[in-house]
Amino acid sequence: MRLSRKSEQVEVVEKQHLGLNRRQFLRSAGLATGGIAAASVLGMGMMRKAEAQTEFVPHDTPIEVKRTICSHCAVGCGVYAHVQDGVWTHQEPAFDHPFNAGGHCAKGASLREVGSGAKRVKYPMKLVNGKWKRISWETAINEVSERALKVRQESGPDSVYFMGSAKFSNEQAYLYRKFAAMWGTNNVDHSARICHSTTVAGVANTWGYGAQTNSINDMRNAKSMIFIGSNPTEAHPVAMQHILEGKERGAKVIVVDPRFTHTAAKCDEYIHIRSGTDIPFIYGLLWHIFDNGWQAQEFIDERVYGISRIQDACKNWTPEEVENVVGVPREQMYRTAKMLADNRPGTVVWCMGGTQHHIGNANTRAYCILQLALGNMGVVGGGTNIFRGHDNVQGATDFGLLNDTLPGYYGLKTGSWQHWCRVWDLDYDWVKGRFDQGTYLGQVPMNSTGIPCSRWHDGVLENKAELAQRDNVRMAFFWGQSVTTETRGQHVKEALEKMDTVVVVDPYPTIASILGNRTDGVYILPACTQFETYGSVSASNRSIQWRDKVIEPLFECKPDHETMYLLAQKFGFEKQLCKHIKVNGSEPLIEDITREFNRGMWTVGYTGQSPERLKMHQQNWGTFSIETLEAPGGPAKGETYGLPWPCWGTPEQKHPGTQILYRTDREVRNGGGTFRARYGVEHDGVNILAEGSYSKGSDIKDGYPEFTDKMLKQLGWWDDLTPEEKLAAEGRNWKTDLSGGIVRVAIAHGCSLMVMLKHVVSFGISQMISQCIVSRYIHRVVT
Amino acid sequence: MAVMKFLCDTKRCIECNGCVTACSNSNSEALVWGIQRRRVVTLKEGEPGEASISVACMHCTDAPCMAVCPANCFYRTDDGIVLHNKATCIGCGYCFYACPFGAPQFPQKTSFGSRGKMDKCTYCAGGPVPDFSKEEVELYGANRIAEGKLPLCAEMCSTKALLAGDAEVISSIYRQRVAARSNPNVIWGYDPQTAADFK
Amino acid sequence: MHREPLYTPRRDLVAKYPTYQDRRVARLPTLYWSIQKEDYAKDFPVILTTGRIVEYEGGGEETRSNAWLAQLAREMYIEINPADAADRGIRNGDKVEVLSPTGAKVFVKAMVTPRVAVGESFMPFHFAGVFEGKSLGPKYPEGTEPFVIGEAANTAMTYGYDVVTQIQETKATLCQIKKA
Repeated sequence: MRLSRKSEQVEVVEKQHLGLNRRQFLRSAGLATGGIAAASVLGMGMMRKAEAQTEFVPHDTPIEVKRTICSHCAVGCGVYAHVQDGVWTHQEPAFDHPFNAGGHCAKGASLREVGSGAKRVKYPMKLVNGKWKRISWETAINEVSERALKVRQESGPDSVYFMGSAKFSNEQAYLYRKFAAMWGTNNVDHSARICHSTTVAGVANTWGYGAQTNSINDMRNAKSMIFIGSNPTEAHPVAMQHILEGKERGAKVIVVDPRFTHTAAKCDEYIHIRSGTDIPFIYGLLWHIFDNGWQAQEFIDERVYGISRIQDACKNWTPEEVENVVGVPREQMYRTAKMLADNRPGTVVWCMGGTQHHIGNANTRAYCILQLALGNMGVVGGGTNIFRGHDNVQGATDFGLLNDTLPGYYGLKTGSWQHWCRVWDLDYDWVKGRFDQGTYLGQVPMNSTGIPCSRWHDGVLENKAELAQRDNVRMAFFWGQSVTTETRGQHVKEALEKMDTVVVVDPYPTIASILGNRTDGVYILPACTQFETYGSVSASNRSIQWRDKVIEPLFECKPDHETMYLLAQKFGFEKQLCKHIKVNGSEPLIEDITREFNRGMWTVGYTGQSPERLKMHQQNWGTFSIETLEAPGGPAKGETYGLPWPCWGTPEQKHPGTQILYRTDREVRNGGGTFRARYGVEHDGVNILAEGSYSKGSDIKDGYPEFTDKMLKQLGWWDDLTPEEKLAAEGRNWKTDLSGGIVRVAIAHGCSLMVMLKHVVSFGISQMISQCIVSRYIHRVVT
Repeated sequence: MAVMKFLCDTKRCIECNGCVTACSNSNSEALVWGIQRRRVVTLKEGEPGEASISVACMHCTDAPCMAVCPANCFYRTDDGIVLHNKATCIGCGYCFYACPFGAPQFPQKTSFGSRGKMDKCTYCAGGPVPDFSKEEVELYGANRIAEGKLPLCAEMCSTKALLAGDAEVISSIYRQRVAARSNPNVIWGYDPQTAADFK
Repeated sequence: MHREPLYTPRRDLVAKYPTYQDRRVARLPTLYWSIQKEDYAKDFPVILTTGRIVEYEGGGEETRSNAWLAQLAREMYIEINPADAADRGIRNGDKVEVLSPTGAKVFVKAMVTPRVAVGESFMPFHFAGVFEGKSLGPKYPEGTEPFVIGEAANTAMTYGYDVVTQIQETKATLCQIKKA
């Protein structure tokens, strides 16, 4: 404990219970509505009064046990919540949960406090003449939607900004993206932009998918681990359970960071680099690796394209130049390179220290190249284990809660929109008609990347003529994300002041509601936490976990999907938004949303994880091994916990999920796979399909391009499809065939849907691709 | 009978404060703002050799607090857990001087004369009032021992550094870990000198 | 290919490892060289980086409102190396002013520690509710002010966005630290 950090500044003298329960708060809220303080917000005075009559829940009150997942980082720790008489009375460790085995950091151990409701927004409010005024939900929705429609009419749909959240469940994230699409804008984004967006871009360019390739549990099997710009002791403490286990089994731990972090204190080798010199550092390691012939040549020949260019580039990064730029002496670089070479398989972990740079995407590619040179990909104990920082930032990314893609990384091209319109069962022309039909600086709003959440304030403040959309951002929804995360605080404040309307939808009044010097035009809508609703959440390792609802919504809070629906009603597209989703009152049914995205998420394999399968996994935490994440027996026998994507095909096809991406020593039907095509199968006339490398049990050896209806016909596999599947698959490829037939047949023949491609490592190519993804982000949809 | 102890494996402790918060969670009704029955102390902060340890009442076998208490408010349970009676505690603070770990806490931070009742880790074993009663919850906190559970701090430790249980059992777990790690100076924790020897 | 940070302390490396030219990224004009070409290192010699602390998460709005967590980390701070602190007459626990090249000033407590190297400093990014020395506490709706508020590190963080994804640069910028 750092005493200087935790000062002795204690203000509260009177006894203040830390565990105010829901009922006390409900009662005090009732008092407030009952007239005593009808116009004012429930203040501390009221809270203390409520405490004086502490309601005691007797120990023998029947206990309901709920299974939920921590809502902080993306490790995904399991929690048993004990609820008695509607109050969350105890939080018990989930010793049988395969990720955390009961362990929690400070944040995870504090979850029950959420049930107390202290400091929560209790009812909708608006700022009137500089004072907060309580309003009804009806008034709030009416006024907010009127203001939004006015901006839409005057400046077009792109002048309303939809900031989303990594705290949404998968269902809410998907619905929010769909909601923004129905509104007619790509100005929708969330905090993945500001944490791992460069990883998604950089890693996807090298491997095919931008996500953690292995799992945190798999780090138990690593022989070496190198952390670059990652400090799991503070950011992902429960991951340290597996990391330290790996270390106790002999793994070498290397920490590269400008600070001597708590993680560094546990390592074998600490390397101080100057902030922003990751690339020279990696090249410096590669220099020693190539100089000593430590590269994994066989792996490179089979699966890597462009390594010679890397070797050429390395020549500039001599030990002397590395010491000059990075500040690490030759001996330490040599020692580190040797440690990595001698201890394979090894894993690379990076977090914000690597990504949050103006060259972030190049940093992430450099880390990948290191792993390729060492041959650490597609193996147990290897991989690039990027740790994600919010409970559902992986899921929100996958569901395209981003300004540059639709769900499933389909991109924003016309074909992408047509695919999702088929999933939504909506007329493409209607969806298109929702968008601004103009062209601005050569960009068409429906198909062009929106304003990133890292720069929404530039969307407000930038000269209109310089913006590739009709008008500035004039109104924003800050839905579950704090603007504290945007740099250039003075500009953030200015932008908050300049906008017509600021809407904060959050359990807590985030800084966006008060930072600007405003007297009017700010609304706060109270949102539920994930403990007051239910749904699925994707952990860092791509496992999808189901959460129970622990307690009923506190005060007047509403779950996010309900608030979206209420707004959609006013915007006039609630029927389209929920065409195939049952709506109870004004709350869309979560399971129906899950089933809807199951029907469309073919690219990354979010199709097999039905609500039923996820709930079955949730009920059987204890059957999954902490070592392998697989269930050796029980109802989920043979499956990997949480069906980590890609979980190919329909739920009925029972794919077990893929714990380790790109491993060729397993059949695809059993969680194996290959790399994926992002930009064709040729470069400079050179074939970049893999050679002599294929997944176990594949009927096709060597690499192959993507599966389409035509390819199935050429291979003579077309008749493996059922008549219904044939109908749906005609003219489609595996990503757009909604029947899943192409996927089923390809997997039955042991083939991977990801193209058997070599990893492309050359920076020349990567830069070429970077240019493409600025406008298109991820990959093309062939329709 | 068992002899219940805490043991913190400093090689695994990462100062995540999970134990501190777990204690707040378990005993929330008995705690006030600013009082932590458990703390994590870090030595050599920010330097090679940095180590953290989670500290609370160690439930000493020959407890100094018990020896010095003028009001005789301390007692030991059959499981070796040291508890005290807030009804007879006079808030004098002697136990605080006697305790080598700084475990006793005084909720009211004013001058000596008005210290208020002493509060300390109960090993999640409640106090000398009926089990699970309202009085117990509000004065002493949880009684997990009576439910057959261990203290929440140890149960929730993120890296399994903090062990709680019968002394025999937890020391044998720790012994196995130490044996597996071999010479701690060679493979554990960053030491520029050791690292330089590795060529 | 290496490119020096936009706000780099190593001016001697800028010619060899320059950043990109200014360009349009998606809908917004984005600055690179027009920032890097200015020499800020003379007036702002200390590297500033940001990161997490275990008690809080993200913008900290939720976790600073959680009593069990808030009591563990009650104040915003900056980590400074003992050598830099001594040069500036700063002692552990002193109030300091962190000056950003953008003109922003944040007022925080100094934590003097060898955890950061000489010439480098670190701030956690979870705090908010104080802006350039002014508390915004009274502006929260009644009863909702988090248990802990503090200066937001990002008030002092500078321009810089990834050329592909527009991620913001929060790990490598410059500042000057003065005793407040």
